[in-house]
Amino acid sequence: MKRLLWIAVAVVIGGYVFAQPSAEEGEKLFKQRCASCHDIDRKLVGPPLKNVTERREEEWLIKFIRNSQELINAGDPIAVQVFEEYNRIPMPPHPDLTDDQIKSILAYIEQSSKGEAGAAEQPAQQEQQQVSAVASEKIQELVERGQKLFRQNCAACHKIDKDLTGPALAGVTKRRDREWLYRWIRNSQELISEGDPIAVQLFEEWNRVPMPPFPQLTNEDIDAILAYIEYEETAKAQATAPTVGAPTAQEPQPTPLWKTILVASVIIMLLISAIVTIIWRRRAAQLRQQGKEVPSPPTIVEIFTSKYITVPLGSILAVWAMWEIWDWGANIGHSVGYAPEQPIYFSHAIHAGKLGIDCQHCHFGARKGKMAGIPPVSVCMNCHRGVQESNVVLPNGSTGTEEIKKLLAHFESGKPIKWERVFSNPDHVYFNHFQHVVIGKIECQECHGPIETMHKVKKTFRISMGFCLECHRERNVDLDNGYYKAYYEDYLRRVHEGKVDGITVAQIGGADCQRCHY
Amino acid sequence: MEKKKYWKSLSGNNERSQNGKSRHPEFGEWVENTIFKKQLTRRDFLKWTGLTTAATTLASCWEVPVRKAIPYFIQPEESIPGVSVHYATAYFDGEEFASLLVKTREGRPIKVEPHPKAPFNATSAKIQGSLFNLYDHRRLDSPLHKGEKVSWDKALKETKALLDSVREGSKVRLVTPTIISPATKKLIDEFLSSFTDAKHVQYDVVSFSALLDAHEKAFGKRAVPDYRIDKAKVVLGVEADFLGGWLSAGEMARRYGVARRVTKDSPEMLLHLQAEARYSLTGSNADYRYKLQAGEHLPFIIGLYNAIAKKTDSGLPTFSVSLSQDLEKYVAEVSEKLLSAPGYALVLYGPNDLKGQMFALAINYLLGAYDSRLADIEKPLYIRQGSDQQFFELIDEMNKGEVDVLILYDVNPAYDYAYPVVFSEALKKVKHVITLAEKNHETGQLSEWVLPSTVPYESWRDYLPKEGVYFIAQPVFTGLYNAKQFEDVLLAWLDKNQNFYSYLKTFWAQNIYPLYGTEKEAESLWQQTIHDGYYFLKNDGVQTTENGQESSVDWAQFVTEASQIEDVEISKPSVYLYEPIIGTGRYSNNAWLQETPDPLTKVVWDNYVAVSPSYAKEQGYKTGDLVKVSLMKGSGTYSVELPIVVQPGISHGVYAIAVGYGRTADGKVAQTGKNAFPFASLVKQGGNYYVSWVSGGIKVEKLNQTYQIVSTQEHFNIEGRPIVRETSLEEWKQNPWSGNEERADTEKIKKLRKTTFYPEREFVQHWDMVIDLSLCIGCGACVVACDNENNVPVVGKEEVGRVHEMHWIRIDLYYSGDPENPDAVYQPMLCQHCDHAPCENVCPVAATNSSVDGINQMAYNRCIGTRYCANNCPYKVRRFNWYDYTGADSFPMNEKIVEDGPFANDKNRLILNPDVVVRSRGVMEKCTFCIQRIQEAKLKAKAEGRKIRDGEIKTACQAACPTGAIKFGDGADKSAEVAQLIEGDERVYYVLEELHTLPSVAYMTKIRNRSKQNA
Repeated sequence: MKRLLWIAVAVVIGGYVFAQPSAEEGEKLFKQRCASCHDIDRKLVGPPLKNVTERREEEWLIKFIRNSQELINAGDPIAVQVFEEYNRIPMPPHPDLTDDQIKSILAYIEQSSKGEAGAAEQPAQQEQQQVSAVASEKIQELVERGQKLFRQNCAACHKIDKDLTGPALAGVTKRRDREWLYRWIRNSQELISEGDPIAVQLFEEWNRVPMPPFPQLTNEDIDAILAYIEYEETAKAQATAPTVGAPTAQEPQPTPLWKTILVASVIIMLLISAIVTIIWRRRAAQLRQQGKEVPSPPTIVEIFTSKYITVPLGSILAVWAMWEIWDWGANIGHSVGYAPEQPIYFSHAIHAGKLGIDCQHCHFGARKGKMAGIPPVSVCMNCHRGVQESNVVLPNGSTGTEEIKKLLAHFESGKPIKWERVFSNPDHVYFNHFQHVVIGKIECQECHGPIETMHKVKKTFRISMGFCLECHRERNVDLDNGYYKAYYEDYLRRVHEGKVDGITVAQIGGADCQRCHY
Repeated sequence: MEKKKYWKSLSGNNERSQNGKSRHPEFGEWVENTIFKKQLTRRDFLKWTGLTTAATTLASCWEVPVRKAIPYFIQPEESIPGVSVHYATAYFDGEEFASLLVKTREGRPIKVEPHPKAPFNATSAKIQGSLFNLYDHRRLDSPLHKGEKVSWDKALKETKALLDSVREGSKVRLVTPTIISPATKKLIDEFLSSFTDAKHVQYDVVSFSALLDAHEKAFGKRAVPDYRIDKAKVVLGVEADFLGGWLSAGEMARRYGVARRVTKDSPEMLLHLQAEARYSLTGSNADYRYKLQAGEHLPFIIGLYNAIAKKTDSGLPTFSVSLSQDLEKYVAEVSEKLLSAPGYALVLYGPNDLKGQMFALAINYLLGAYDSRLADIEKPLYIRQGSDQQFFELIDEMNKGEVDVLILYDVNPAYDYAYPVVFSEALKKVKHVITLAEKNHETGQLSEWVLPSTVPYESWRDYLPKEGVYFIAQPVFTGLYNAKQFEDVLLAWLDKNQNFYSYLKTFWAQNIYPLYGTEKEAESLWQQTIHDGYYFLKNDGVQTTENGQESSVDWAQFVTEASQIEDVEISKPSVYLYEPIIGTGRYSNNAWLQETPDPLTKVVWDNYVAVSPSYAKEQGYKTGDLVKVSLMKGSGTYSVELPIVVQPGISHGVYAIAVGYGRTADGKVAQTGKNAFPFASLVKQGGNYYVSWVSGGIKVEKLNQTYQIVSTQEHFNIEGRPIVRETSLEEWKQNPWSGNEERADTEKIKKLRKTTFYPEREFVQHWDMVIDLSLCIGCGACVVACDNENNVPVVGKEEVGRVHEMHWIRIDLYYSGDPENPDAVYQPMLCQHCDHAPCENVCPVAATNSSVDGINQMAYNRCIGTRYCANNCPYKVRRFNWYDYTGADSFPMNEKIVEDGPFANDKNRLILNPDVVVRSRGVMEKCTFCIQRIQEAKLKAKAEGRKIRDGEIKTACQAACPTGAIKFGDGADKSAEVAQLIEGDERVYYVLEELHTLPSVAYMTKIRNRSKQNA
């Protein structure tokens, strides 16, 4: 059968060459007609098309591309399966494509499937080197897999050692039951609605932002992720605190700030009273020696209303109050939590979260220049030409269909949509998305927050100069980039010698004024 | 050797003469009277403090405004918001041609740069500022019929009906500036042939009629030879300000730069001689300047011809001419120098005087310039074609009432003709006048119809500035004003259902590409030509005759004919007109150009009468005295009141006045100074009339009034420190350290540079600039380019008078020698980006500091405006925003915006560079080394994973400099050009190096092509 298939493919390819349905033409067509929803080896709105010609019959493909709905309605099992798998978003029909054109597209897909198969192996090899060889081989394998999965699925919201959108994951395997974790990760909402006490508590604690479900993760996948988390925390613990004894089973609970303040102030008050008493006794003794009259000792009230206490205390309070006001004032322009009503209730939780569309698929400007940009209506229509109905109920009560209708109305009237800006920099700041997204390889979520979980976009972080600088001081530049390689040989040598673990952005001028202000 | 003494102004004591007092109270009358004038009590003070604190707090608590983000509906493929797109195009304003690369952002052009590959890619100050004219909100936005706005449909319909009614038997005349577009020319021919009696007259403001006629007489070709001064060894300019606008300022300056560049590998440079009465920009750059008395250019050129004809044994006749003693001496000296380089010497004769032009032509022939194609008449320039005689005849026809329809495209004779009143009167006798213009200018206001036309940046056009070199200009912008391209209007009048783009394309497919023999590939060639912007003809269709053309010319007869032409008598006192930085009227409303100081007097925002120091003394003039200058013209007298400016170097009895000022029908900016065009006169020579910019017999009357003239010459004074260094070619060849002897002990200099209290810094990148003083001609293109690139505010005359000008780069002018014929040195001065910057130490808030790549950076949003830095800067390059010059403030009281300036309204503001922040009141600013360009190049290098290439980053001033005087690059990269110059060139020095500021801007000693420095 396989042989036959190969022969068929060969014949087909031969036919293409003869009739010149070249891959070149196919590439052009692919870019025009398919690329907005499909990629060769990435899942976009539609499935990755790598080796699709091997998976499916050509005849079937031609039919499906021409009009997928027809096939689905006819009950073709593969078509129905694909339809269900991809959230019941039908592929828009392309009745105007001729057989030859479709064949040339397939030729292009075939060609690029082959071309990219070899290339894809290299980064995987590089990644392997990153995990050190402390763990045994098997564990290492598991940890590597876990690392990969963690980056793909969890890293946007979780860090091992730090709270992000979600809690820090260090010690999670000790805190929670493994079975509970499997269920929670696969579908946390289910657990919450069942009334599981831990789940409900977590949900409440984390501002009722639910963790998106990951039904595609198997138990083995989750085991791998957890193994990676464990590996990371022990690696960190070894690195930072080698002298600490055996880790206790119980997590060290940080004492709340108010308790510390209360205890500290009581101690300070006692101390002051003691000091005053001592001073008074000495003074009294002196006076007695001189034969003078000794005044009565000061009462507690007298001590704490004297100017020696009230003035410094008052000053400290005043400074603290000013700091608070300053902090509050400083947020005014940054408007953390700003989440305006938009003309269309566009849900990133559905598009970026549930459907997993890449951010830069729509915000393509981020890959190319200064502005990420808001997609033009024409980009929305690439998919919504086909997807005109959706029974998703949105938090504001309307349905997907209703919101898509608003989009269609804009499309028909030819008027652009007037969105309300959530993120904006002041005029005196130059920020370039390309620099950060492509060169710096920063995830969008690091500044914009977990957009893929938001129905309504909300500003999560106070994007102030401190926010930028903090990152510039911590983050290392990509030393594989030829630019840095060429200019920072000295640093590179030191990195290879293990003296430093990298060059931070700030070290090479990333904290200079005129990196952003000009 | 005795050091030269440099001086900046004639007062000699280098003291600032202008007072710094403003006529208006800074915060408005009310605040001034209620708060500042009254003595404030303690209670009042507290009240005001409390009020302002509360108000500020309240204001800052205001709700954050809702900002909309409106994406494209369908995003154009090539336009990505935030990414600039460059288009190749070309620009011709009737005088100057340049091939350009226009940078656009989100569809709007924001900067012009010289085309990196095409010929004619040099920019002058005018070209650098030309984008301003595109956005100028005074442009016409609708057709006008007798002053009333009408729709385009109606206008086209009615004008077409009008033209249809005169197809037979009536006289139709079309006046345009020089047209160098072959397709437009063909279209005009088609248009005119649809009438029985129609004629096309080309009218040049800066007329070359005499030069053209002389060449027609000699070679039968009415064209300007392409003067290749880049290949010349000796060039003599006679009243020809070829670096300042005589022919094509930018391109001539570029060639001059090529010929004047001296390196150790090629230590020869062009010898530049200049004979002139007015002290021009070109003359100030000459190695030897021969001071002519008023009107002596004609005897001088005839005398020179005689001398050269004799010395070359040409056998040509000589003609008697009476020469003064000085002239005898000049002629002997100049002829000897010209003849020292046979075939490589060139004479450029400026005045529009047929006799002189014919003798100059004969001299060039005798010098072999036509044979060696140094003056290339076989592939000539077409950028001047106008005929004064034809225009004169036209006025005659108009006066007789014979002309039925007069179509004026892009010309404004009611302002810029020598006899504007005569023209205006004649215009009244024409039955119908249709004017096509960018603005409703002086001529437009006298016309029945005014149709708004596009500027070159909005038009499709082809250009043939020189035989064999074609350019395509594509529009880079459209739609801001309701204007139509001239050619499209012609097509509509011809009833052709076609736009000019398709006409142009067909024309090229049929006429241009076939010359190349590739008719079949027309489409791909067309795309390629638009992309490149230029197109060379391989086989250009012009047959080059062997040994040039001289075989067909009877030179003896030619010079005899020349000798018989009547002389032009110019009696003292005389007036010399010249073209200033703002051009001849087209750019009068251009605030950038108005605020760019004149290269020689550094006067801004005005024209004036320049006279020599000795003459001023004799007549009792001082700078700023108002005089009434009158000239008898025909039946009447034209007189204006203008201030005197005493300028070194001008000849006795010469009054030099700039044209281009005194517009009455343009924006607020243009309404400064007085119109000097009427001081030009018509001279009849050889049966034809010529417009002469030199007129004798003027009357000057001193009025007992003064006028405030604002000049920046004495601003930011250097207090007599040795800032410029110079030497002569001879001395430099013997000793490369000559003029720069202070740095000859390299070991000592190295040691001194390293002696410091500061921790030693190592640079991975270090941006450095090297400026060659030999090449800086002082034209001011860099100043305008910087204004454009960095959103530098225009502040207006009054503010400049208070030393508040904002230019980040200025050109300092130092004189030396005799005030009656001084030497000049130009020195561009900008932030020196010191590694040990004195400004940094004194800033209390660390708003200015040094970056890791050696740039002295300025954080505007951190600056609190103490101005300590400006006080402590030894180079005086920091600029303070005394007012809100840019309209960035929310309080109008703080604003001081020049009306019609680049920040005046939303239309003009479209020209601002979105990558550079617009500074508000109260902050310091200065040159950033175009940090936005550096960052852009870095980003590009990172994206491509490579080092930044040498020469990849060009600062705005560097790109604009036509002579290439400025070099910029990474000094830490030892292979970079700047690093090699700094390391190895003996001419490199730093200004005020003894202060140990370690500047990043190095200068190179000026070399004059003389045998001795003080010769």
